[in-house]
Parts: sequence; structure tokens; C-alpha cells
Amino acid sequence: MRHLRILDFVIFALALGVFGATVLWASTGRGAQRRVEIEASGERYLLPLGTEETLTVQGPVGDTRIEVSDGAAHVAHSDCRDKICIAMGDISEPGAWVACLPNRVFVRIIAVDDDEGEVDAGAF
Amino acid sequence: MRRDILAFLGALSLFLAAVEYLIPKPLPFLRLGLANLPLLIGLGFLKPRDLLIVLVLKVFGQGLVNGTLASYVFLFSLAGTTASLGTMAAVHRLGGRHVSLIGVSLAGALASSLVQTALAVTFVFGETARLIAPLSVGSSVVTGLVMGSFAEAFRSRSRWLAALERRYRSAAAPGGLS
Repeated sequence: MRHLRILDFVIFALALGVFGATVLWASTGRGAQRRVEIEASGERYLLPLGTEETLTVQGPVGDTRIEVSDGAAHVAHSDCRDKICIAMGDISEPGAWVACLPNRVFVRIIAVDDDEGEVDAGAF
Repeated sequence: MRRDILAFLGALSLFLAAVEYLIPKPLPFLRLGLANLPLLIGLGFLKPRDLLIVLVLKVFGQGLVNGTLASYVFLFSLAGTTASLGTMAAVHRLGGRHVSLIGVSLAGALASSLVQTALAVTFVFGETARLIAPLSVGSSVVTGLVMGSFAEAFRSRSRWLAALERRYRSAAAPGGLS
């Protein structure tokens, strides 16, 4: 491009910087507004989704360990028979849930304020 | 004469907005910014007041074509275009010969998308809108470069534009008209 001048490059560098900043801004804000709600044997626990935390709860058949890390939550261990809760893997979007029925443990993500999560088929 | 030229540039915006409307968009805010071309080209020779007139014509014309004239989207468009024009005029004036229309256009596109994203986060969609910020800014960088390259090439080659500039200057020069 023979038209390009020195300030064009400066502005382009600035634009890339701003773009990088927005990427960072979008990724850090993610998950901070969400919480993990865990219900077990009549108790209700709330954990911020952004933290690294492990919680072990007791149920009728034994222990269930829930791990929160990297903006997602999953059941890491459970004393139930089928381990369906472990197989359900990570959840991170508001409304997503994992349950261990034998042990009466229910884990779900709840949104705080106006965080509506990702656009899905329900938006149409 | 001056009025003819301004009306023509406004009409050109309207036409380009219609062309833009034909192009399918994956997301509503991903637009090329074709309707900004008259502003970008006019930056080189129009007086500030006349630039503002073209801006108003562009925003209203685009609102008419897109059917957003009576919705909040219109305010987004107005705010974005105003921020863009202000930035472009500043960069064009301060940068002088050290900046081409490519840099000017890029700065304008960036200002527009930043202002619109800020508005979206503050008033409409809340914090969720931060997820579209990289998309909005990223696409504006690309379209800003494309539009700027086109405008730069056009300005340096078009005899028609040179004639238009001469006519505008001779109409504005005697002092009575502008």
C-alpha cells in the first residue's frame, strides 16, 4: 500500500490494543456473576463460580464431592451406584444442573443480576 | 451549489445504506459501514458545519432504510456516527500529512464501536453485552480498514471527486454562502 503513512500504523497498533483489551475484558468478566448452588440433605450452599473450591456434602448413601474450577462446576466423586452425576461433567451456563439422585444432591448454576448466559435456541 | 453537493452526499449515504441493507449480516451490529463513505470522503474538503449536515442526513437516511428511525437503535446509530465523525475529524486535522484515510477510517470505526458497546453495556443488555465487545471491535477494525482503503484509493484517483471538490470550493469561497 503506497498510501500508508506513519500514523496509520500507530492507529492500527492502537486498534489491536483496544481489541486485545476487549477480549480480556470479556473473558475475565465471565463467570464472576454466576454462582453454584448446591442442595444436599436439606442444606443449601452458594459458591461463586469464579473461585477454585471443593465442597464435600453428605447424603443418604455417602459423600458427594463437588469441585468448582475454571469457571465451571462438576461432581468429582460420589458414593452412589451409577455415577451419572460424574458423567454429566462440567456445567457453567446459568440454568445448567447436575444431580445425584441416590444421594439427594442437586447442583445448579444460577445467574446473578441480569446475566442471561449464552444465546441458545430459547432466544428465538 | 453547495446545497446541491450536500444533498448529493446525503443521497449517496441513503443509497449506500440501501446497498448495505441488501448484504446479509450474521449479527445485527456487524455492518460494513458503507454509508460512512460520503463522510469519509467529504472529510478532506467539507467545512465542519457541512460535515455535520451530511452526518445528520446519513443517520436519518440510514434509519429510514433500516426501519430503525423510531427505535433506540437510531440513538445508537446517532451516537456511533457522531463519535466516529468527531474522531475522524480530529485525527484528520491533527495528523495532517502523516495519516491517510485508512488510519482516519480505522480510528472512526473504533470510536463508533466503542461508544456503541459502552451504550449497550450501560443501557440495554447489561454486563452480558461485554461478550459481544471483542466481536464488535474486531469487526470494526476490519471494516474500518476496508472502507479506509477504498476511500483512500478513490480520493487519489477519482477525477469526478476532484471536480466535486473544485465546485464546492468555488461555491464556498466567495464567503456569502457558507
